[in-house]
Amino acid sequence: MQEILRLVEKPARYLGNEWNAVHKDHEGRVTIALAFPDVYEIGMSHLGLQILYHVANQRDDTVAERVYAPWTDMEEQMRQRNIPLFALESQRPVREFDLLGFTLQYEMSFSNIINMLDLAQIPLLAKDRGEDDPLVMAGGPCAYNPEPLADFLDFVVLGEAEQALSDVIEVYAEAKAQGLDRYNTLLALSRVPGVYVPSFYQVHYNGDGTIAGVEPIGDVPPVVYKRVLADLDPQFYPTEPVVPFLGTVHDRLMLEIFRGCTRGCRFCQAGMIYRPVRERNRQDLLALAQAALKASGHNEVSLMSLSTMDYSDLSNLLDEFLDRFSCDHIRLSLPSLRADSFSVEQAMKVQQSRRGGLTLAPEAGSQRLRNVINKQVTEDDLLRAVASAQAEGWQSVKLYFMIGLPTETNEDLEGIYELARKAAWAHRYLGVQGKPLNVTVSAAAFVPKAWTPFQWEPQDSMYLLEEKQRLLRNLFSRERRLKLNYHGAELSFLEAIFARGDRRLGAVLLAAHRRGCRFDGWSEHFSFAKWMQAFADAEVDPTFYANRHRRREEVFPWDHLSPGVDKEWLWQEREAAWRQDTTVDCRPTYCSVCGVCQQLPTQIQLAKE
Amino acid sequence: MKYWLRYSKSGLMRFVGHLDMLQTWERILRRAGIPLTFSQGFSPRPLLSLAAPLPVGMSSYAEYLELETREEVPALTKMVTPALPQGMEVLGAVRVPTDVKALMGLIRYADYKVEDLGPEQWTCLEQQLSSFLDKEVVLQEVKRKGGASTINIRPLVASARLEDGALQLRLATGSTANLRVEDFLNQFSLAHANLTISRRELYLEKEGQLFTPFEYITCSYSR
Repeated sequence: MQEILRLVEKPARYLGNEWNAVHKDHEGRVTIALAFPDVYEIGMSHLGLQILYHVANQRDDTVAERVYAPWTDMEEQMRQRNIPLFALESQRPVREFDLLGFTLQYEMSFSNIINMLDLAQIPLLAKDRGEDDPLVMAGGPCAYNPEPLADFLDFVVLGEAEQALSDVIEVYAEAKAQGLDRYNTLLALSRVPGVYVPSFYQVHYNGDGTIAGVEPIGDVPPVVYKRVLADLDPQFYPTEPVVPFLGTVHDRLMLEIFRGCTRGCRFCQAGMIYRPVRERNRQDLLALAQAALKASGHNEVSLMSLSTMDYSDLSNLLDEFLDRFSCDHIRLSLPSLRADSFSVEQAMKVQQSRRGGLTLAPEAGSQRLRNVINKQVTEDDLLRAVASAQAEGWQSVKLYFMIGLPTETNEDLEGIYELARKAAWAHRYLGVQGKPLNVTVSAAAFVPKAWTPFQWEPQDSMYLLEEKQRLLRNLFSRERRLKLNYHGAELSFLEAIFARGDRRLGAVLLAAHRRGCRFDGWSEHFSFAKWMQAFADAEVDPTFYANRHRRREEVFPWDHLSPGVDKEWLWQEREAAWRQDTTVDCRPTYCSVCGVCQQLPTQIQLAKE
Repeated sequence: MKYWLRYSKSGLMRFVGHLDMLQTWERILRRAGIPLTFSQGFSPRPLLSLAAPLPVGMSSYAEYLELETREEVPALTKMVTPALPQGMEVLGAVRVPTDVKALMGLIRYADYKVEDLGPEQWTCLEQQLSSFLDKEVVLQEVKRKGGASTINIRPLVASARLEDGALQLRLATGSTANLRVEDFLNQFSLAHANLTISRRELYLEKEGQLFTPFEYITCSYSR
């Protein structure tokens, strides 16, 4: 092994001896390999997997180890020497583990999952696996539509896994003790709330290719609901996080201050599937930060959430944080700002944010379209925020937009340019003279996702997206202070296919794997041509998934996998979008009855009301 | 308060790169609760530096960290040890008078031990080493940041001998003159993939004599 480490770039990706890494004897324990299907630096920046690592290793009867996608140079060495994919801590092959769990964060990592199974020398298809192979499980946001991966996964855990993983471990341990075979172990697991075993459901199709129905085979629940925590119990937070030796994407302590989001932006899957909002209280957060800083040696804390500025006790939290930790030069970072002056005030307290420039996400260029997507930011809010940021010394601002949103017209696109221009001169809005700011606009192509009000909407064709990009490019070329960034429409097209795909895409994934697709999120490895060949190999029409209008009553591949939000409520939101009606934040005082708190044992929890 | 800390880096820690070591050290010292001193300015950094870069993959039993603390830390070694990852060990620490220059700029030589030489490699070295040492000029192409350049490597080799089944080297190291072990071995066409190379000591120079960093402090300031 050490011989190979000399030959690869960044060998510190593969060591497994990081501080707080857990090394346990495998004998007599349930063994779990927790896999992130991307390179180490990205995988180690993911809090979710650190939480599960912590939860599993807290149990004496379990050993959890980590595995990331080996970079291509490592893969080459492994394949040359016939070294199977191994878990970092024990360096043992993952195929010797009881359970192999993948986190599904991003559709374009699906090809890496297949490649990792292949590297692990585990049969790719669940039906081909034998009694000695691990059970391959998955969870994470893309698990709300895992159907493109249905052929490859033995089971899926829906929703928050802090408790569900323990349930899985207990059922698995019992099954192992009883000597149950693979089928009966999966049957036992299917009784765990939140567990979905794809092979226990039969999908029937209509003549037009849409789904006629999903039929449970035997005694399994017709709809699997997500698992959700009643509150964010501090015991689930990893106060002894694994500390990497090399720079990762988020190389700092990640402190989750709340889960869920009250906002209800209609394009946002996270805003739907992580409902409801559950905030930690300030004292718990300070204590967790203190303990985790001491145990890790990190010098920076990131206050993580879907919308950190919405934390109801933010001002006090920041004050106390700075009070307690600034003498040790612990930096504080806020991952996202809301476009208002409160946010700028808070960011000013945290000082360093000025280095990177201010990032705001108006998402759409006109008030009309912002109403459609329920992004409740006004131009006035935005310009005031930018102006006060400029007064405080920020020199540049980044604005995030989406193109291809439902109902979008050229006027909305021109609105992006207009808003960027106004932002550059925001100080004039307040009647102050001065030089303009540099504004960078990032325009991502909209990808409709399962379990959002826009799940019925077609994605713009690649041709149309490229037209829109061209239109923006022409507008932005007029002014050198304004910089425009966008990604290729090809990647967004593929994302849209898999985000709302069904089981027939399994054949496409296999074909893509055979053609060498992997690390599709990395532009140097992404090959659209190979993917299109893979669709041709599997005789699947990609536009059926990405660009098709869906009828209201269409059965979706994910209808039987519920985050608790009602499909009918989503349709009502979709109708409201087309009427340009907004929906108020979910708060204890206002409820739009989305279904989550009505159907699941959970409710909104705020740190301070 | 300024300290020099000697430590080893072996096993899996060999694969942690030089630049990543500073971050690793900051985290170790924070976990150990060492009262670090920070630079002034907008983004304060702890005052830490490493004496000499070590190539990724090479073990060392003589790495030196220079650190500054806000107050005296008499039990430095004892405090740091429990915070060290496997593969690192603190081998000693000295308090350094504040007027001593930065260690990084004082390093002049390093000792290396090259082990696991095959019989053919051994014979080749036995035959060629003395003629190499007899010469005054040995031109050799070496890799530098900007590309390859040809330099006279002979004055950069203070000693090279075969002893105890290994090749023992003392090579110029540091900001004034530097020769990488790899470049030296290339002179003898030794494939170093199968060799075990480790750094054994670093030296500073004072009045024509070489001292280890700790000796340098003792002999300069003990009187």
